[in-house]
Amino acid sequence: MYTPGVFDRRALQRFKRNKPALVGAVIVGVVLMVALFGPLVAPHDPNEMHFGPSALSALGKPQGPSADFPLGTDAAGRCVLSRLLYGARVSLAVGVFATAMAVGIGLLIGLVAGYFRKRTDSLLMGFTDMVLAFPFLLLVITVASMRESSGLVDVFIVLGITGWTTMARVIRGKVLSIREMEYVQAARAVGAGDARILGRHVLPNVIGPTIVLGSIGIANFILSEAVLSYLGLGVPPPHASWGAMLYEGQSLYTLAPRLILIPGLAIVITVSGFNLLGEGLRDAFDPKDKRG
Amino acid sequence: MARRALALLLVLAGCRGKELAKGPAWVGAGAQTPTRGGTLHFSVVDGIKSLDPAIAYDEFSIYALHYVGDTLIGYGATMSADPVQLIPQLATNVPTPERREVTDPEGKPAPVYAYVFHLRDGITYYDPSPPPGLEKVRPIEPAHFKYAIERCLDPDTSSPAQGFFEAIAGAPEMIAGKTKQAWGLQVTGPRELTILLYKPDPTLLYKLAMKFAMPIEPAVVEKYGLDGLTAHAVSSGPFYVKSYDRDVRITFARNPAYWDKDTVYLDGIDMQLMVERQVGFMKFRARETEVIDRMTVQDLLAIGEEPAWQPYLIKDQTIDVYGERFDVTMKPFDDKRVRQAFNYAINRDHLAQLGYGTMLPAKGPLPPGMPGYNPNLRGYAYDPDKAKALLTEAGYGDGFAMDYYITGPDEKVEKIALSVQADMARVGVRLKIKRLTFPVHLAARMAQGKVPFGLDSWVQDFPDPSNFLEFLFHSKYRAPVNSVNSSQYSNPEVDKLLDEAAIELDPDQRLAKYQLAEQMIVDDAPWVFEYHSVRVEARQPWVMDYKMHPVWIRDFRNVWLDLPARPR
Repeated sequence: MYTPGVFDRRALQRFKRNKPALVGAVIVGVVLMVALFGPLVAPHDPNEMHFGPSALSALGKPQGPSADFPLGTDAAGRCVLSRLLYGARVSLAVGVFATAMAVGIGLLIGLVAGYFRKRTDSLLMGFTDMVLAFPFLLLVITVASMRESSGLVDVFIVLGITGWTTMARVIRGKVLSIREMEYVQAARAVGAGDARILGRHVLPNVIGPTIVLGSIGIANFILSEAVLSYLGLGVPPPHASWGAMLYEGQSLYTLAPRLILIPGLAIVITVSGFNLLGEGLRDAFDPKDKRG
Repeated sequence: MARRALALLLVLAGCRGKELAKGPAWVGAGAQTPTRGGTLHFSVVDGIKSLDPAIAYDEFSIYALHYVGDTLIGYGATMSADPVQLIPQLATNVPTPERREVTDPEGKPAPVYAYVFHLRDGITYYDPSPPPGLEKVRPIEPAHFKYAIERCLDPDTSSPAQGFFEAIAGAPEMIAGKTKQAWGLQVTGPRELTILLYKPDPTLLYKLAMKFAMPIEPAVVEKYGLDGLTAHAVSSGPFYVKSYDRDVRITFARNPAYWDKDTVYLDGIDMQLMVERQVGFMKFRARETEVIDRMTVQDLLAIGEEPAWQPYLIKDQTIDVYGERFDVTMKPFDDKRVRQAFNYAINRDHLAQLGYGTMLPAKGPLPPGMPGYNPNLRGYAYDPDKAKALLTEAGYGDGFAMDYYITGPDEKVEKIALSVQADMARVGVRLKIKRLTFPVHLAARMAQGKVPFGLDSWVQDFPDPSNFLEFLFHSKYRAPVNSVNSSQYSNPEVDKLLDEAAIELDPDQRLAKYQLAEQMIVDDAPWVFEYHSVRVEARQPWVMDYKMHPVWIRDFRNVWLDLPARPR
């Protein structure tokens, strides 16, 4: 049976020849390592406030890099390096879990809508358009401030239940064309049920675009988490996330620009990494779509 | 490109620091004695709401009113030994109440306390553009004070000061709209005003020193109406309004007809309105303004750590208190030991270190500078072991988790919250920080049973302990919503002391009672009293004899400019 997509050796070759994609993969790899093992090498507890002269001046000014604090301290006397390392974990976790949720919801809705068409399709896509029509940030802020408790899990949920729409739309489009393919027609002709067709023939064919959208989604969700934390609706204090670090550093932007430059660069690099990886994966899975 | 932008940012940051390191660019001429002349410029972050003394109640309107209006009694000069001492101003005396038997308007005998004010001779208004038929310089009469207070009481004026003058005989009837005059306000001679009270009110004199009690002529109000006094302000103070450009600037010039000319050295004041904080600092650095406060955190830190600027920084105690308040009706804070444990667990020195030099650790509610401040008050030293022991004793040895409500976004408040959170975690209490906008937070913390633990603060209306202790801790100020006593604290013994002090006319005994009440309140721990604010200002080197007045904040009487200032 011909199922193009994920496990295609040619796709892997195309990916290997794509330099930006490899750079993206390396960056993602490094960020993953940092998230997994960073806390082991972090010099301090990221939430501990230090009040000694190497952390805070008598007036409360954060101090620059020193042997104790390799990237200096923030305005609350906490080690910036440790917060950066732990923050990687939060940012990645939010990216991955929110994406997983968005992919789950989007895939389900896209598959069902595309496969059953007619009223199911109009209903589900109508709903998707409704969610899509809301300004994303406004929706996220509304949901985030409506929730009674705020925690890391809440950030996943908020981003997940607002971020699945593009996924649903793309998958539906893909399914609409796949269900008319000859091999699906053939399967139906030999009496395969909807579940079997969906599971064995349709799903494997949408895995490619799902992975591509997912990896770009991770980048978007990392940014969204930063935005939420920057607005004070993200991970609750004292926990570190890159967005929260930006938020905390902004009031000292002329005096200690490193407080916003360091997390800012971390976000830029990580998001670029995931975007490059996503682009590369798309090119690899779908050579016809290659532009230029 | 990115690297260039980054380099530029770093260079910019570096430049700022270097410029500051040189200190102020200009210095004064070196005059040894006060000299007249010059205009003092400063900027504020907001506009002026009103110049009608019955209406104005915000900081910047009060600044402006203070330059154009005197009251019967006022406060000591900024640089004097006791700037919160009441001194005669348009009156020649600070009266002590005398007991009298009078008859009220219904003919019934009424025992009252009488405050008799003798007006200074030769006091006048100055009105640079008088309405037709009136002179530029007009005499101030006792009836004008009576009229000013009655305007505040009149429900049609909607004055925020209504409550302040409630104690005056006949005031409640006037507030209720039943009468048009308060019989307790009497003109008893050509230069004499008598105020009658059923019960003594030691804070009356403070209230009469507020700008609400500035004299006003009925003729001017009739001519310009309720909203007209902002455009047409008549001066009874050291300066008059020379020009007013709404939300841009208001300028003042020396009042040529002022009774106390010797205290005024400046030719004028230029108050620039609606200037954002960072812009205000830049103006100051560019010598466009002479004094600056409300600096942003980074400006404060940059200038605060610069040795060359130290002689020109002014740090002054503000009369306020900040801390965390418990709702003593909510579990677990109905147990005094838990409240005390919090008090022992929170490290106030750490909080102060996070405050950029703007916080002084507190032991109790009353700040230094407040009459009755008790340096020997028994507060809570940082002692996490004792805190843990108290929690164990109260049955919370394993700790507990709860929400902790703060306002935001506010950089300083959030840092303090982090420190409190860390301190409490050390004794097993896991606080979850919840940030609410200020109006939502205010409504929640003033309601009973909503916020078990969270930020609270109190800033003085007038420098008297009653203004702190009675409002915040007397059980009569408890309410289910809009509770001024936001901790819902109630202690009959404290109530009794506060009631006694409220009518005690001997100042020493009165303050002693307040000190006793304060100690009982601190022992009961309805709050964690954390810090009093320190206001940091910078001045140009040629601004002389200036510091913050504890009540008026920006009082420029006796301030002089060492002109002509020149480059360093």
